[in-house]
Amino acid sequence: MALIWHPPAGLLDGMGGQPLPPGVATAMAAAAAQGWADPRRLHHAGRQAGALLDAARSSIANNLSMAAGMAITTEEIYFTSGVAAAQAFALDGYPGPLALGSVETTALLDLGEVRPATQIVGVDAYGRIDAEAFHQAAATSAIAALQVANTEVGTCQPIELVAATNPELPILMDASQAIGRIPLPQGWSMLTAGARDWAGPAGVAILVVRREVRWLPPINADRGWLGGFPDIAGAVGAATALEALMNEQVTLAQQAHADIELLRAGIVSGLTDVEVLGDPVWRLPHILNFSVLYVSGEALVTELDKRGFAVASGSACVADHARPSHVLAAMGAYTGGNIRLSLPLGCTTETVESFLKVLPSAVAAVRADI
Amino acid sequence: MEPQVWLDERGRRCPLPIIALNRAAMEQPAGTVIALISDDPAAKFDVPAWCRIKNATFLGESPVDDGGDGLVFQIMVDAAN
Repeated sequence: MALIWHPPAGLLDGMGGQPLPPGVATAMAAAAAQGWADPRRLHHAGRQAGALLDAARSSIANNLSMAAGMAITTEEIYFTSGVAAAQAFALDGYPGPLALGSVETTALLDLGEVRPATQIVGVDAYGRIDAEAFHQAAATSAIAALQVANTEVGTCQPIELVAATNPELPILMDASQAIGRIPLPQGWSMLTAGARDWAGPAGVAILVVRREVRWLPPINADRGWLGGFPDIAGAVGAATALEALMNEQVTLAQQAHADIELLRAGIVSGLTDVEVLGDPVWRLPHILNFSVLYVSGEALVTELDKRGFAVASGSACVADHARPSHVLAAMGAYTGGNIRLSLPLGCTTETVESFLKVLPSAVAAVRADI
Repeated sequence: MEPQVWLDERGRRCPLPIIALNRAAMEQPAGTVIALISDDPAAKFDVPAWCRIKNATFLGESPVDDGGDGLVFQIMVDAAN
C-alpha cells in the first residue's frame, strides 16, 4: 500500500509539524461542510454534527485500543484543544499531591508548581527517571505524571515498573510521540496525546480516563469535548490521521528505527567532539538528539537550513527563554550546539543519508566562522 | 587550590566561553587549575558537561567576588586532555 505521508524533502523536525496528508484534509473539509451546527441541538443539522463527533470519538477509541493493547471504550475518550489543556483537565479532576519526573514538558512542570506538595524526581544521563526515588515520592503522592518517552531525546520511561511497584497510584501518562510508534506500556490510569503527533490537525488533543479512576469531569463536558465549542472537523481529522497511522505503524516504526541507527552511527563517525544523547536501545524509534562542541546551536540550525535540512535545537540560543532545554540540563548533558532530529511520518532513508553527507561540512563551516 | 589561569568570558555567549576553556586547557600541563568567569546562562550546564566529555575535573562554581553577574568555574586539566 502506498504511504499517504509526503513530508517536504529535508524535513527532520517532524515534531515541529508536517503537512496534513491529503486524505485527512479532505475528510476535514467534508466534516466542516456537514458538521457546522451545535452537536447538542436536537434538530437535523445538530444531530448530523453530533453523529460526526461521536464517530470520530469511537474511531479514536478503536485505534487507541490497538496502540494501547487493551480495550478502550468511546466513553473513556475526551477531546480538548491541546496536550497541556488535557493535562490540566486531568489534574484538576484529581486533587492531591503530584509526583512527576524532571524531564516532563515545561507545561506539566508548571502545573505541578502551582499544586501543593508536588515532588519532582530526577533522571539519569539518558534522561530516564530514577525509579527508586520515584517509588519514594509515590508513597506520599495521590497521583503520578510520567511520559511514555521523552520527546527531546527519545528515552523511554519505566512506566510499567512504576505501575507495578506502586499499584495504588494512578498514573497520568503523556503519550506524546509514542502512539503508533511503540506499543504503549500498561498500568496507566489517564492518558494524553495530541493529534499533531500523528500528522493530524493542530488544536485537537485527547484525554483518556479509565473508567475505574475517581476523576471529576469538568462541568459542560458535553459529548466528550472539554473546554470551549467542539471542533468537529478537527476531531474528524484527528480520527482519520490516527487510523492511517495505525494501519502502517509496524512498517513505519521499523524503518524509523533503522534510520535512527544509521544517523547515530553516521554522526559519531562523521564528526569530532560530538555527544549523542538518550538511550540508544530503549527509545522512541524516530527521535535522535546530539550536541556538537564548539558551535552554537543557532548557527548550526541556520547552516543546515541553508543546505536544505530543517532541524530543531535545545540550545539556549535557540530556546524561547535564553535558557537551554530543561531536559538536557536535567540529564547533565552538554547543551551547546544541540540538534534534535525527529523523523516525520513518511521520512525516507534517502533524506537521512543525504543529511549525513552534508552534516560534517555544515559543522566545519560553523566552526571555521568562529 | 589557587587557579593558575584566569579566563574572563563575561559578555560572551555559548559556545565562546567553552572554546576559550578548551583552548586554555590544551595549552596547559596536566594539573593546571583554570578559573573561567562567565555570565552565559548555559555555562552552568556546559562547563561540567565539557569536563565530563574531555576528562577534565570540575572543581566547582562560586559567585564572582565583586557581586556582579556571573559565576567563577574552576576546572583542573587532566593528563588525558
